[in-house]
Amino acid sequence: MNNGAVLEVRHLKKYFVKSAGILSTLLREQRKYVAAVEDVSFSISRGKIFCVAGESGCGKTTLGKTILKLLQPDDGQIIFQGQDITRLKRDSMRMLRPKMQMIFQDPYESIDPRARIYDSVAEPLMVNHLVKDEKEKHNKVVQTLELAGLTPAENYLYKYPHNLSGGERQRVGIATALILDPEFIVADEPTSMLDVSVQANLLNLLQKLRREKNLTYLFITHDLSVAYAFSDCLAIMYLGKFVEVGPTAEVVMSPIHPYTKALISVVPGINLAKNKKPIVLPGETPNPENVPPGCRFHPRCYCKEERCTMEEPVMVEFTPQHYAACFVQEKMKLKKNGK
Amino acid sequence: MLDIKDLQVEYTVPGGVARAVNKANLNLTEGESLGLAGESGCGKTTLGNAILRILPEGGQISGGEINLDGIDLVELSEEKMRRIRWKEISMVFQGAMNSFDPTMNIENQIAEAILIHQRDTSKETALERARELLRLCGINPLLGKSYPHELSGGMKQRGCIAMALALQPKLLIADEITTALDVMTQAQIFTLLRDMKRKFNLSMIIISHDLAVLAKNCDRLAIMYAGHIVEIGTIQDIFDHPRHPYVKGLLFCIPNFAGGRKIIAAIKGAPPSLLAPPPGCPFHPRCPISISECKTAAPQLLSVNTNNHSVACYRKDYKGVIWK
Repeated sequence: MNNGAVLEVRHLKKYFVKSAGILSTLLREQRKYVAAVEDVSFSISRGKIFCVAGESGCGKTTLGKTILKLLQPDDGQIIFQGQDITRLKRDSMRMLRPKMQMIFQDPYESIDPRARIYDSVAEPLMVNHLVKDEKEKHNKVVQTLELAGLTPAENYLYKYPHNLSGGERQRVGIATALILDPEFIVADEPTSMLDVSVQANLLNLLQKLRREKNLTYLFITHDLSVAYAFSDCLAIMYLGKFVEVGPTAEVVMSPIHPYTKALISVVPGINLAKNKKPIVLPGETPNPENVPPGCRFHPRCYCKEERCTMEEPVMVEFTPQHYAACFVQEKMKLKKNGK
Repeated sequence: MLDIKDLQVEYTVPGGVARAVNKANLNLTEGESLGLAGESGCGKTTLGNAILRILPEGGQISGGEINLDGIDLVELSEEKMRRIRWKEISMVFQGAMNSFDPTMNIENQIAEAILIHQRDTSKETALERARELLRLCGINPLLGKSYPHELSGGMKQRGCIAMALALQPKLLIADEITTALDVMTQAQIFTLLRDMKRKFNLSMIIISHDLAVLAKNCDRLAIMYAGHIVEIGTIQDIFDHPRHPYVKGLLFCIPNFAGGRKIIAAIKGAPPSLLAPPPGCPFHPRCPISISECKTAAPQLLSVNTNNHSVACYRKDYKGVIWK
């Protein structure tokens, strides 16, 4: 166990069974699997924000859900605060749940539309039998709503979700995650449905909570500019695998993997746009049912070599704590060091 | 080419009358692309729909003019308007990729659009044109026989653009066309739009909530707030010398690679309800530098330089720090 890592993930794998047609079932054909998360390893130290970014379908949401054991992992290990939770049963998991919470993308869907805000936010307390009486419950709810920036909380308690704006609703989502005093939060695209000014307010709130409560986040986003402004570490995911991981500023300012380079070059940054030529990749966001052999990025890669079509590259440390999986870049690095 | 004067659009809803577009003034020259930006509910989509007169039920243009090459579209009969749509002005929508008929292959759908508007065209010519358009938009003509469900989101959006260009319109209105797409696909679609604009000398109105996308793909930019156009100017004017406090705040909120690793949550609160807008400038309740004038009468959109950079704000000359 290393220096206070809250979460450590080792070679995590999550497969989904591809739904087969009736004919192939009758013929007892072998089941086909889709690898949504393929051999992912990383760790997050206490109080840090680890961001996973990638295009839709790359497996980032599945990764988040698997870490919280909302989905059962197929292989690898998930170690939370020194405890291996990979094979924990439901009951033992329930004891840990208060410490690990999730904030969902869509505040319109993650809150019960028929429940008052008070009841939605209080529900985790009831489920986990954490309050003795009504007064304690009320106080805790009020306190948490105000922590999430819904002040004065009395104005919100007896409202329904449809009375609130998108930003306020997401704050309710945050309050429901916070009420159990978690230590680790998976935030899955919490701001992607909100307007920029609302987004900025919410990201600031999450930062403030991290400082005050020493929270650790796994932050999932498709928006690299948000990742850049918000996180300490950044991992770029492609077709279920991490292709690059490192300190956020380094990954964004000096990316190594050709995919990261391309992705960063097409982010419509306001000032960056003027001096850098975008690398627009041809083709489609690939389908995880059909992973190419060798390096999974090679069909879209603009600097591939023959080796890339046959062998799969592994993560190599380029600069301290900055890893990438690419044969071509690795060779260039070796060449540079040889000189 | 397009000249919008004092346009007003209202929706009659159960709670009263909501003015979604308030005294909007805009103009667009040939081959120019204008970005229309603002947060949800600011009226940008309504303005786009009003130009084509395709407002949803309950919505109506209650004043102003929309002049296209000297013809006021507001005054046209529905029959005449129908001839303008698609042929002169066409539109690609946010959910456009789901607007294809699922039972018809895409080249037939494009050909049908051509046949409806140009009755003297033969089916073969129309199909030929459809395939040519698909090719131009980066879809292999062999895929023309595909049905919508066989194509990815990005492909379908390309198909929609091909269809929108089928009758060679002068003006294309693109409403949040890449919102549901990944950055890489988004970059591909905008590269395509820029090519098409050059090729056909197309004028475009690109509606988006994403200022960064507009900065990269437009010549000029108009920012809307609660139904009002609050600032309009070239990309440079808006990004380098914004004048309206709302625009200044909005630019602060966008995280970007060059802006340092900080998120500045400038503007607090939420936009006003369109049913009960505040008197005067719609932004004054959230504006840190509002003065008594702001609370009584809405400011006019006035030019601040020779470049047609215009701002609707009494305090447009304020030089101090507004947001921090």
